[in-house]
Amino acid sequence: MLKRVSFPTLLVTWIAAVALCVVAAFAGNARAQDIASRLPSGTHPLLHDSMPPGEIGAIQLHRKPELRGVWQAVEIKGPKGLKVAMADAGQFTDNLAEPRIAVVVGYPYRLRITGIPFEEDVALYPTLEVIDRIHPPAEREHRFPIPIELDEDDLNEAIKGEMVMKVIYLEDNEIADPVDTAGRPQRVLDVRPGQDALRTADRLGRPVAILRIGSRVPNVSEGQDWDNFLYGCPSWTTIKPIPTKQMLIDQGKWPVSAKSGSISDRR
Amino acid sequence: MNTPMHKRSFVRAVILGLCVVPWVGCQTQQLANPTALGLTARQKSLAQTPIAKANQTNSKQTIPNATAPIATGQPSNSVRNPVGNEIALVQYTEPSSDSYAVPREPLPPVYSAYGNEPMMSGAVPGPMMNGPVMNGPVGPTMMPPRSVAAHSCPSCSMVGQRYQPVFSQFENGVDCSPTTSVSCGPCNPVESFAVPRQTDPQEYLFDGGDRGPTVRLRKDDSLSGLDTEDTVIQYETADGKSDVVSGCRVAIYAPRFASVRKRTGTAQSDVAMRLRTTDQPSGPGQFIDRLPSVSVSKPEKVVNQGNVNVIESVRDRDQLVPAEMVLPMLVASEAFKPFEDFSLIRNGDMKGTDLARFAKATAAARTWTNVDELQVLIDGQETTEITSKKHAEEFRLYEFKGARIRLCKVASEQMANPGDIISFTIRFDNVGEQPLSKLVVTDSLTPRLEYVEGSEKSSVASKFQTQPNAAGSDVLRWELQDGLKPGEGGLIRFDCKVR
Repeated sequence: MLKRVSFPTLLVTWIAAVALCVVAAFAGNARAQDIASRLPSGTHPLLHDSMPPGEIGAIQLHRKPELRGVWQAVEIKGPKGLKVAMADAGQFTDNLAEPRIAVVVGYPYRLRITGIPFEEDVALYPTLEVIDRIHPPAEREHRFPIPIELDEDDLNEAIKGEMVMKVIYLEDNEIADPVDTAGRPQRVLDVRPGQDALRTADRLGRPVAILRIGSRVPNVSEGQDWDNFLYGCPSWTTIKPIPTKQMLIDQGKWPVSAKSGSISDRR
Repeated sequence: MNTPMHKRSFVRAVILGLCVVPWVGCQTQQLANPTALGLTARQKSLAQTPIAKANQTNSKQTIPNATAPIATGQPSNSVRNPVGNEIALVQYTEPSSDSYAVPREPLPPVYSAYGNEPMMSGAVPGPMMNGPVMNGPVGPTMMPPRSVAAHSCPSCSMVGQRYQPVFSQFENGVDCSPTTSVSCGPCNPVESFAVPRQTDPQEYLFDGGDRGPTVRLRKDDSLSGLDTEDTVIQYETADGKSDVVSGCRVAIYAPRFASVRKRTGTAQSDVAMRLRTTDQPSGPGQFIDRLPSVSVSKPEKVVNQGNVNVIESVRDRDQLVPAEMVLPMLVASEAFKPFEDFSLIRNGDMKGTDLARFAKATAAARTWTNVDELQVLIDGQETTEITSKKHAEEFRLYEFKGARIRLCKVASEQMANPGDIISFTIRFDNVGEQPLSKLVVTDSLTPRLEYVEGSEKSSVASKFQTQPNAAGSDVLRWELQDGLKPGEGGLIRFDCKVR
């Protein structure tokens, strides 16, 4: 009993069906937008890399009270012969024998770097700011310091007068690059001056430290506030070295093995 | 009534549309905010537990203003699918924060506010190793010593000489941190705060288990939903049924760092910049006195924080699956290694003394805070609980009739740096009542683990092959040539290099 349908009838039916689908989609979106409209429309990051040293750390301490008073181990690496001194009690200390120290999270530190390759007379005064911590197993904090690596490009650019900012971040292991990094320099991603290094690092992992290195030198003769230059000399301390095999043997912590190979030989 | 054809069609279309509009709208709303709906269901489920009801009752009895909105300062926990492979319903409570507590030492007893009897030690969210780590200066977490008896706040307790919040992450609990708007008597004058030792899953390498989506078995015996870190075993029973199960998960502390560098320079110019014009501002035309507001309204609770950008990204990970059942192993390829010194690995017996070590080795990044008995349905049938011991980490043993296989995985190291070699051991046992065949063990490595060629060993005859996975690492696959009778099992060992 099929009845032939005229073309105008078919056209009107199709137009009505399409219109109803469009209305349904808009109605659904309107309800969804009601929920989405409760969220802020133009979100912006709270922190950005143009903040002066210490401000990001201060905001972090305000946001995360659990970071207050936390010590974090860091290790400053660089080209061979690089010497690092820390500000302490209003002046720089002697060059650290081993630049592995623990600093307080959230405070800016002024460093003095000398021994730059081919620039023996030049001293740079970078700032280091640890803005977050990591959570190594108890009593193993010294084995997992945050590596602060300076390569020759960073030092040369700073000597030329450029401002080099490095945001060290903890990689997200789920999206980490499957490349072998053992015994190799730290992987560096260069961004353009218009980009936010802190935000880029946040997308790749969790930012933990900021190193700013330029060519600024203290000018005490013209009345510069020396204490302000050193950021008040926040506390820092050296950490115990990672024991080597010989150190463990000397301390009697290395398991004693049999001198001979078999039991019969020992007899 | 001879209605024209196009009018009848139009009426039908309108009726159809009226039915479609609300349905599509409802579906769109669910898709727009699935997390909130799931969270609501989750909260309802948790609210039905006896302990949650007891907490609600106690809070009503002891805390006068507990009915007021509590600013916990932390978002509620993310939604996690409690349905596993065969476990249909598991009620448990998990930490509501994005960060997890690391079980490193026995939990101290927590004294109830209603008596001196200690409450459940396993209910404390984390070992509460607060304060500054290492040997640094004393942070704001220190406070003058205070006796336990004088402290009557039900939400915090004294451990040593430090103030410890007990249920600060419970939704109905009272947080004594400074961000809390609820006063709780003796805690008010405390200007300090205490937080449990937290950790970040990003600092760990995980391997084993089955993180979402759940691994499924296709008709052609291939696997779907096999993500990195997953370790599963598939089998076929005597009656032709195929299935796939996962085992426990290993956590290895191995953070890796990289950096983002930006160079900016200064442009040199000889052109002196000076002001072109200056406008002298005129003084204010009028003064408007602004009086303080006569009423202060309490801000509403945050509805959703899904799109707020903050400088951190913490990911949730699924919980490990406890091992179960107990049957001896028949064949081992060689002597056991020190990190395999578990009774479960050596002879298939689970001893109570191994639980703490096993938990430490398998789940160093997470602890459970079970406050309720588990209610488990396996394959739609109730099981009989034959072992029930309260520990920092829950371990349950259930008898089960039918096909069942157990998969367990341990690692040689709990922490590692790039370049280190880690040995993994996988133990599988047929703990069911049916012989199993066509067994295939599959392990998809995380991107930071690289399989060491030639390091694979198996105690049973198997065909081993590797193939790259989407994350840039390898999928290891052992196809067992023989089946497993009830009570039989085997060992698989292989080494991986940390990238």
